[in-house]
Amino acid sequence: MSESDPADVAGEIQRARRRLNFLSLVDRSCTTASVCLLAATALLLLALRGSPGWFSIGLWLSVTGAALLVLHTASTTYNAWMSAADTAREIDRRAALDDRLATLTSLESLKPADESLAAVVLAQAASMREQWAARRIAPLRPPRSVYLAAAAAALLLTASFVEREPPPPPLSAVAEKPRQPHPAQPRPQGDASKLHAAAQAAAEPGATTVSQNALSESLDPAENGGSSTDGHPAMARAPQETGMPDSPADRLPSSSLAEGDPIAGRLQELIRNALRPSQRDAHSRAALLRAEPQPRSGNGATDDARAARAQGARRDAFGGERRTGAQMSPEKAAESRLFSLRARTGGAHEPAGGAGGNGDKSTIFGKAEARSGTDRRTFPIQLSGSSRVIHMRFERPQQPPRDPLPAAGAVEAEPQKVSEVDIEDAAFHRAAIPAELEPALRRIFVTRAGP
Amino acid sequence: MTTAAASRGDPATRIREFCEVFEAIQNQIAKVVVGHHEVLEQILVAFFAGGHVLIEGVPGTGKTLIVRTLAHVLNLRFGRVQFTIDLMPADITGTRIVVEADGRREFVFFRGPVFTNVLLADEINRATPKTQSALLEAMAEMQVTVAGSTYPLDPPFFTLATLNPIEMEGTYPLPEAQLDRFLFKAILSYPSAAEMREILSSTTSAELPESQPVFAAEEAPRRVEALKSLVREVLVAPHLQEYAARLVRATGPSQSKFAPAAHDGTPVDERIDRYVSFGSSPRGGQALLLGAKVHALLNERGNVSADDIHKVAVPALAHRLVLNFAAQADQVDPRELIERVIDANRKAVR
Repeated sequence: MSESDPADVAGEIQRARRRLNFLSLVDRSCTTASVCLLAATALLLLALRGSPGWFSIGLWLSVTGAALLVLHTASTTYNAWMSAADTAREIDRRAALDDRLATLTSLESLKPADESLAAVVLAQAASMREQWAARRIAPLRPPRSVYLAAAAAALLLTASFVEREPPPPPLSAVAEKPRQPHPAQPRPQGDASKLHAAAQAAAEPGATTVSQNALSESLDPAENGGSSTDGHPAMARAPQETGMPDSPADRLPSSSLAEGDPIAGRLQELIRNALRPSQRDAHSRAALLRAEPQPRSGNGATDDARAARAQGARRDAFGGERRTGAQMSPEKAAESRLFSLRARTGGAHEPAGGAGGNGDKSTIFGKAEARSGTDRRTFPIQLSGSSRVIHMRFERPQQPPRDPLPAAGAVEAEPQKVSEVDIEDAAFHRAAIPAELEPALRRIFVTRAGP
Repeated sequence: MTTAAASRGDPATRIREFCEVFEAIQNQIAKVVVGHHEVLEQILVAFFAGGHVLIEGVPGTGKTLIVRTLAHVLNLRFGRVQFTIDLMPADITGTRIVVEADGRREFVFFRGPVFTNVLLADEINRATPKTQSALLEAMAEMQVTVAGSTYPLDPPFFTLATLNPIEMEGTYPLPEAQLDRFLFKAILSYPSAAEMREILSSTTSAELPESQPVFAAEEAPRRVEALKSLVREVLVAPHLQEYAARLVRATGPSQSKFAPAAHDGTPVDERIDRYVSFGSSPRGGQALLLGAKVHALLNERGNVSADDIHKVAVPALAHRLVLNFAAQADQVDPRELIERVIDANRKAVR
């Protein structure tokens, strides 16, 4: 009886207490993390494939839910934090000790007089110590929630590989669809001042994504066929105006919600840029391409001028951006690198964008006869790939001299010219671009502005 | 506690001695009484817990035999009172009579049958409530007050009362206060077929079974008191005390002004609400813990566990419930209600 050491029993209870509390903390934390990771996965999917409206809803629901969950976890963990008495009861329960340890811990002193029955209890508890050792009661192995959290993390990682959103319908389908403006909705007018503001915002350092959105929003929906990048108000009108089938995203909450939630919009863009920068470019281009299904007349320079007139205000905005922006956008840098490469390979250097046209002359996209309409559906992806290759391979070149664009309000734009080397560029050869889309493509490279 | 305990020796040895005595008593009673092992255990538990037992059973099931055998095995003084309708309180407690001595007449108190160690109150419900109440003071305070004079009872004092549940004509149901004085209420059922055969065999032969006393006559009261004091030394963890209190509170309806359960969040079973007018008194809680302590000792433990409480909950609490007319109409068994209460509160201690 007296051989049993009360300190040993108390020490073992304390060890079990520490382990149980630690495992409980790990378990609750991992459970909370699992839920948060699942929410993050859903949010990521929404960011990549959902509309800004849904993303905004999901973002704030997730943030609120995660905050509440963390608070709940903290509260329950605090309440469930075991004292020595609680630990003794838990050990009694797990090791079937018939409340011996709970009785012992309730005593004022764990060293009872030898004559009292507490000595019997202590001796019995000590004799059964192997049965309730801390390593046996609370073995240090990860709780199930750790695996759950790992699975949730893996799910999140997998979700990050999800494509951003389905590719747009073939351009031919878009181009062949007759435009049917919605009679109930007045056609929005282009606003030059809005474009100016957007361009200035885009010229600010670190405002790349803002400029994309702002510029997209500033575009005249009538000119771009009512189709724009995500978040544009024209999205809701797109089915009516373009005749395109109503996509799920179009049926989602109005993008006005996202417009009123700049945080969500910015975050969604950040996520998209971080995970799928090239896809994002491709989609932006695709959207703009859909916006410009205008046929060309055959003369490249004339067509360019007409395109520039049609996009006067927009060009003005781009020009302003180019004038005010001290930094080059990635796309412009890519262009410059392309020019630099061609110069180094011995080709004659000509100003870009001046030799367009679909007549008997070659354009920057190759010879006219090579551009059959059958390959047009691959256009956005091919451009994206080429652009990315250029980004990766070459050093930042000297910025090629460019003619300043006319001021706001001016519609005449100097057509850019492309050298033979440009024409022969393999990357662009892979892009099967219909001739009528050349101004739109040119505008993409011009509008990829912003630091 | 320490000095008294020190004089009694090693606690583990005392626990073993308790178990041995308990088992010996059971074995000796079992020589005479066939079957009824559970009831016998309840009676012994109540005996060592310092309480009294109310035995309910149909005639001929061995109620009186059990009590007589117990007194004989314990080698304690045994008194028996056959309760009838004309029984008066003085017939139980004793009375003062005029005695002439040395030419002087004076009142002398003649002790009644209550002044014994083991009292059998046979068919207690046949006496009037006034007579039944004569036992109240003796059972609760181990003393008798007659004509302004108080006379203490010699320890140990153990009352075993029997009830006949089928002959209700001319009976007086025990008042609630009287019922509350009994630690346990044991129900004697009919013996099984095998037990019946054994009863017939043993009681109709030439040689009747006979039990032997466990204690010597002169040391029996002291030994019994020592064992009873050991019971009181058993440790109870605070959470088990709280659990016992919770069980007691849960036996009362939630809508009664005497029931605290409505105010402290103790879950109350729907059937308790429907059938119970009044729940158990705090004496029920005392009975729970005292009985649990005996069970702990029987398991050679110095502390009470939740299972010990569960074992004694039904005999300790069932007879304290005051059922309403709906319960009587539906023939609700209070023991079933107590089991429901235990089931509903079992997780509170886990």
